[in-house]
Amino acid sequence: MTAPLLELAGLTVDITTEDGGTRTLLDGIDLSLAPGEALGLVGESGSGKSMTMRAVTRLLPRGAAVSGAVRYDGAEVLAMDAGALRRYRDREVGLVFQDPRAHVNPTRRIGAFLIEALVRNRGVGKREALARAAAVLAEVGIDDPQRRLRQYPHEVSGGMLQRVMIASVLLAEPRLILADEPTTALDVTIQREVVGILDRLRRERGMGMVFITHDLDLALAVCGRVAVMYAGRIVELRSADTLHERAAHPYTLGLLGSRPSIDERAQRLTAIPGRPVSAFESGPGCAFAPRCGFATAQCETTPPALAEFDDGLVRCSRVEEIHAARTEATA
Amino acid sequence: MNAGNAVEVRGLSKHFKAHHAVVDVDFDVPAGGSLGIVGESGSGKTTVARMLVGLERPTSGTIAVMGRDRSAPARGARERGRRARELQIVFQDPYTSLDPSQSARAAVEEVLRHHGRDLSLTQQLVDQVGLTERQASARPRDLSGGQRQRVAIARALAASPKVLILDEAVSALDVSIQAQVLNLLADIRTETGIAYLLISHDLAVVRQLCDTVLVLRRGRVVEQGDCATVLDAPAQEYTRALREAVPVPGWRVSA
Amino acid sequence: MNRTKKLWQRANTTLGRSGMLAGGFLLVVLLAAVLAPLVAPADPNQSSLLDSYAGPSGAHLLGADGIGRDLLSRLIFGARTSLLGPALVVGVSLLLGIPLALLASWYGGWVDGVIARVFDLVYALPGLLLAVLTVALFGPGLTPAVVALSIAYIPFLARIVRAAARQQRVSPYVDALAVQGFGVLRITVRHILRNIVPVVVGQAAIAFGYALLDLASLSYLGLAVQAPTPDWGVMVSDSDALLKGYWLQVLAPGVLIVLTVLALTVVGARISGEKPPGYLRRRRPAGAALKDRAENDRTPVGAAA
Repeated sequence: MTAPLLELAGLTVDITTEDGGTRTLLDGIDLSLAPGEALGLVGESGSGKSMTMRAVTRLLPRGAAVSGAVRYDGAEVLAMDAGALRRYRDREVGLVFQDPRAHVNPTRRIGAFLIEALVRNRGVGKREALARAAAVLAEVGIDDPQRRLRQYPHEVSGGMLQRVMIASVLLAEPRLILADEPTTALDVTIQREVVGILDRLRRERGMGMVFITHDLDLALAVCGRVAVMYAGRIVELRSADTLHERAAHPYTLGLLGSRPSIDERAQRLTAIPGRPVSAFESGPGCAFAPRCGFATAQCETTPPALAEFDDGLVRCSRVEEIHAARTEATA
Repeated sequence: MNAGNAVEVRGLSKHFKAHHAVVDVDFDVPAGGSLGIVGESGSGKTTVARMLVGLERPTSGTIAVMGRDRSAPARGARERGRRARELQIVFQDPYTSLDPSQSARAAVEEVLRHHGRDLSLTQQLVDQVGLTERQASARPRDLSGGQRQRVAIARALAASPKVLILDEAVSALDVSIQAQVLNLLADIRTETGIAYLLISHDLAVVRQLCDTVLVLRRGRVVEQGDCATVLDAPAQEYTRALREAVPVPGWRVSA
Repeated sequence: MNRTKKLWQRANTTLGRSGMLAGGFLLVVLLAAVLAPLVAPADPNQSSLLDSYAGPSGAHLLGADGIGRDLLSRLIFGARTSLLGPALVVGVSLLLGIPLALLASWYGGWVDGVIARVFDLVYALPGLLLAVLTVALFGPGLTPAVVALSIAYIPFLARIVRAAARQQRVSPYVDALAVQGFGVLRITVRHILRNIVPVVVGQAAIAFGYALLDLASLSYLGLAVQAPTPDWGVMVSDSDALLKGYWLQVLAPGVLIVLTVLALTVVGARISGEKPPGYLRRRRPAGAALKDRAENDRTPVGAAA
């Protein structure tokens, strides 16, 4: 058992509102990521998947109060001073976002963008930095990297720019990649290439990756383990290989039933009624209870704990009954 | 003209200066049928939709809806109203496709009044798209994305169109909400016999909602035909690549 | 009662602390102008030479001017002419400017180009100069001054309206309305204009302040409102009082002009959705913080690399 690269324990994020009240956005997230592992965080709006990533890098909105622990390689991120935090963000963590265009300076060439951190923070010579940038561009499957280095962001496509972003992350040689919906804005064929590149590089370089997405099937394709989030909590955590067969939480089951299949037309999709809520909108009991077909009066009042079930973790007090009923129905 | 077709498009092209957005596209939507137009960004699928509803003018080619030509801009209010009652559209972004100062009820009533329809239909439409009393009276900013999209659907249906264009209408929604709206759209089609033209990048959504499909790439038709045939046994390399790129159960990036 | 409370709350959130203060001040000025005959302690034109340059006293709260007219009463009645002029200017400019702005934003292309260039041209003319020229042609008085300023203020209002309307024009909801077969007039007036009302009102309030200042300047020069009609601008120009060391008569209308213009600017900016400067801002609500996160967090890949 190797020491985890990243460990979240009881991570909670509250936001102070206008009237002085607090709103919970994340409620007790426990996660650990081994070096070289890929972990998926899947959820809908308000689930807290992006907030988790923000908490890991301490890029939180003003007025946010964080409690719990974020440990990177044994060091407590939440306790880091400014210098340590900068080193951690600069060298250890690489971030890939949904919209690469919002994260590059449109007036600077791709080459200048890529070498900036190397030259400024690491004291690498310009010529050397450009050579490294070209090598990394080639590594993310960009032809003719010399020409790309001289181009401006608006001259390349979204898929190409996302590869440039990945290249810029690689230049820092981080040990952890946080990818927040990195392919959502891309076409499926480009998405396939980009996740392929992320996956190959992760393996080659032994980087840990947290892959955040709303697309459960994509997460299953990219990651070894997948955590399904709902209303600021993890509701199910399980190996990607078995999630389709063994999904036990009613919300995970609902997500699987909601997604239309490319292979056949469903008579009717098993949609989940209602809409996804944020942690602060949920009641005292199970956050999913109001939308859950299996909920009882007790579910509304008593919050379930994340407990082991069928080789995974599930946050549902009725999981065993539901599982039994489903096995019976299919048998 | 085939009387069985709600929409007939022949040789449709659109050039923006030197850029050929749509090139010589032909397709039909049978009355009560459902055609999916699939393509990636830059395929011209949205331009096709905008030409059909008259927001763009075709460079060449003809468009006929319910047997009436609409290749040229409408002349006069009567003609505009008649076209509106033939074909309606629901846009992708539920956050900007509603007037921010109008409640669902007001939006639907305005359309009903405009087309000289009975205002008592408002309640029926609100119920049909599954909005509660409170949601129907709320401003768009107090509604979620899925609820707004229901409002947009109700507003489109208020004109009682024979064909509804769904321009990526479920793409911006959360998965669980997307399923609700897809079920709703299927129900509406069963109840009213309306024809759909679904513009989407999502093959699974097209499969769920459409009978026939047309694959567009860089403004040209790659292949078209029965949904099951095209998706299960693509004749073209591009369609195959498109299909294989979709993450499905058991699909792994690392081979 | 509940309604009033709601209205108060809404005004409070829109205007903020400084805006509410400014709004309150404007309300007092407006009420004084409307109710002048009821609230003024004396006839503004009744002179009594005995009270010439009398200091503040029980009879004249702010004292009296050179020919013994009650200063407070003249200020109150002066509010009428001082507010009427700018109201006319803003009204006429809006009446002419809004249709042009909507036309430009709807059709775009060359229509927009022509209208925008005309706006630029008028914008380049100093309003005061135009007013002075008009007065030179038609003689002094409120009417020629108002007509000239109305024209000069059109671009000031219309350029903002055009930009706001343009933003609405490209919204899909406008496309949806067009597909429903609604006409241009209905879409622009009933939908687009309605949604940009805050921008129009806010900008109009700011323009009102500037017009008040311009008209006061013209009256000061003796080109607009003519003595003995009470008017703040005319009152400031009473240099005799200043020479005789009686500064209150000049200071009081001057302060009123400055405060009114300032208040209008503050209220106008708040209504059109401008954020108050940092030192006036209350603690930011969480919602705002969340919305702003995109701006706060521009440290991403570049910084990490």
